[in-house]
Amino acid sequence: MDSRDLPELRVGALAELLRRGEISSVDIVGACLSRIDRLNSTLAAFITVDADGALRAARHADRARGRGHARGPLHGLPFAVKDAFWAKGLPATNGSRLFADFVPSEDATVVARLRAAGAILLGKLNMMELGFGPTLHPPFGTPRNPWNLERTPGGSSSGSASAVAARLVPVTLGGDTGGSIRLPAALCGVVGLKPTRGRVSRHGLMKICPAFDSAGPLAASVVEVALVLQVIAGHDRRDPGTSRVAVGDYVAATTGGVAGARLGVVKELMESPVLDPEVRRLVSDGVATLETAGARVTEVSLPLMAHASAIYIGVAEPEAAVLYRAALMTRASEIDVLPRRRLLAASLLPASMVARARQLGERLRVQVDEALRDVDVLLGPTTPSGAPPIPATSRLQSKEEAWTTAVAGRSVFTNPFNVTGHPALSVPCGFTREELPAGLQIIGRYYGEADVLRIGAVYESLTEWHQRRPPLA
Amino acid sequence: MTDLTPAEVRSLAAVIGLTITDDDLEDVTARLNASLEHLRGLDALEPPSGLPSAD
Repeated sequence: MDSRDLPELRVGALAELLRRGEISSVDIVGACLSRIDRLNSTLAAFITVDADGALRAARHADRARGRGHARGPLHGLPFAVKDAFWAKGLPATNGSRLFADFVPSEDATVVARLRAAGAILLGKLNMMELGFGPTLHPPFGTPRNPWNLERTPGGSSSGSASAVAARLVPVTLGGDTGGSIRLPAALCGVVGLKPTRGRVSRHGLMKICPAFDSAGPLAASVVEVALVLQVIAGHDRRDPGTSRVAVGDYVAATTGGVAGARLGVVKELMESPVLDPEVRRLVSDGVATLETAGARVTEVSLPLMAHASAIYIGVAEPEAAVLYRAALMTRASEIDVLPRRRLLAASLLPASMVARARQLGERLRVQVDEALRDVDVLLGPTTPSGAPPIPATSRLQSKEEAWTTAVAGRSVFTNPFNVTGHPALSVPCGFTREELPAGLQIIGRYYGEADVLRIGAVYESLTEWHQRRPPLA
Repeated sequence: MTDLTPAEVRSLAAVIGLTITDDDLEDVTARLNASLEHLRGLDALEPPSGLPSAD
C-alpha cells in the first residue's frame, strides 16, 4: 500500500493493518505528518505539530505491539487535540496571544487516557480565540474549511473538525460550550459528539464557561467517535464534576438497529426562522431515512426552546467575562477585536438577568427530560446553514445583526443542549447547492450516549455523506 | 424600553474598572443592547401572580 493512502483509512482499517503487521505506527504517523506538511499552510488546522514526539511514540508503540502488548483498538494510532487542552511539554495557546507562552507541565486527563490507550499525539489544533466565537485575526493562522477554502470551518474547535475532514489525523478532541464541537463537525462534514455533562473529564481543558464546558471527540465516522469516547469517558478525581455513572459499551452500541426506536423531531428547531430551507430539507430527508429503517417519528414541542439562546447567553457570557476580567483590564489589546467586544458586553449584563437565565435553564432541562420520556432521542439541525464566509469585518451594522450573527450566532440549535447538559451528536446529512456539508443533530437522555451513537451509526450506514472527501490536492 | 447609549455603556464599564475604547464602543453597545433585549424577553415567562412557585 502507498503510504500516502494511509490517512484515507479509518481507524478500524488501520488497526487491522497494524495487527497483521502490514504497516507500522511509524508508517501511519509519518504519512499523517507528510499530509500535514503539505496541507496545513493552507488549512491552518494545526498550531503545533510535535513530529519528533509523535515519531518517538510511534516507535515505542511498534515495539510494544511486537512484544504482544498492544493496549487496544487505538494503540499506535494518531490523534490531535484542540489547543485548549493541556499536553505536557507542548504550548497550550487557547488560540490566543494571552497564552502564547504557556506550556503545561501535565496532560489533560483526556489526553493522558488516550496516551495510556496507546494512541499517539500528533499536535495541537487551531481554534477560535479563547473558545469564544469568531476571531477576525486569528493569531495562529486563519482556519479554512477543506470543502471551500473561502469558508470558515466553524468553531470554536475549528482545527479539530477541519483536520479530520482533510484526513490530516483520524480522530481529534474538541471542546464544546455552546456548540464548539458540533458546529465545526457539521460545517466540515464530520461526526462530533458533545457528551453528557459530567461524562468526560475537563481537567486540563482551559475554561470559557465552567457551567457548560464539555470535552468530546470528532472523527469521520460514528464508530470512531465511539472508540474515542470509550477511552476518555468516566469519573476523574481531578474533575469533581465528573460522574460515577457506569461507562457504557459505546462501540457495541454502534451495531444496534433502530427498528421501533422513537425519534422526536423538535418543532421549534425545524420551524426556526433562521434555518436555511436547504438545510431543513436535508435534515427532513435524514429523518425520513431513519423512518425507512423502522424508526417511529413524532413531532416534539419544547416551548422554552424559543428562549434557549437568551438563556445560554445569560449564563455563559458573564461566566466567560468574569474569567477574563483581569485580561480585559490589563491586556485587552492582545485579545482579538471580536471576542474582546463580546467579553466587554457580557461584563455588563445585570446579575438579576444572569440569575433569571439560570433558573430558566433548569426549566429547559426539565422540559427536555420530559420530552425524552416519550421518545428515545430528539432530532434537529446542527447549524442554520452551510459554512459562512470567513469573517472579514468587525463592524456590526445593527443591534439585530449583533444578536443573529454575533451573539447567538450559529449556535442557536446547539447551545440549548449545553444549557441542559444532554448528550448531542452531529452527523453529516448532506450537502447544500454550494456543496457545503450540513449536520443532523441527535440528542439523547442523560448518559444516553449509547442511544445517540446507535441512531447515528444506523443513519450513517444508510447514507453515503460520510464517504465523501473535500476536493483537496 | 430604550436602549443604552454608548455613553451609558462606557460609564457602566468604568464602574467595574473596564475601559472601552472609542473603536469598540459602538459594537459593544449594540451587542449589549441586543443581549438585554432578549434577556428582558425572559421576564415574560414569570408566573402570572409574580410570586415564586413551590417547584
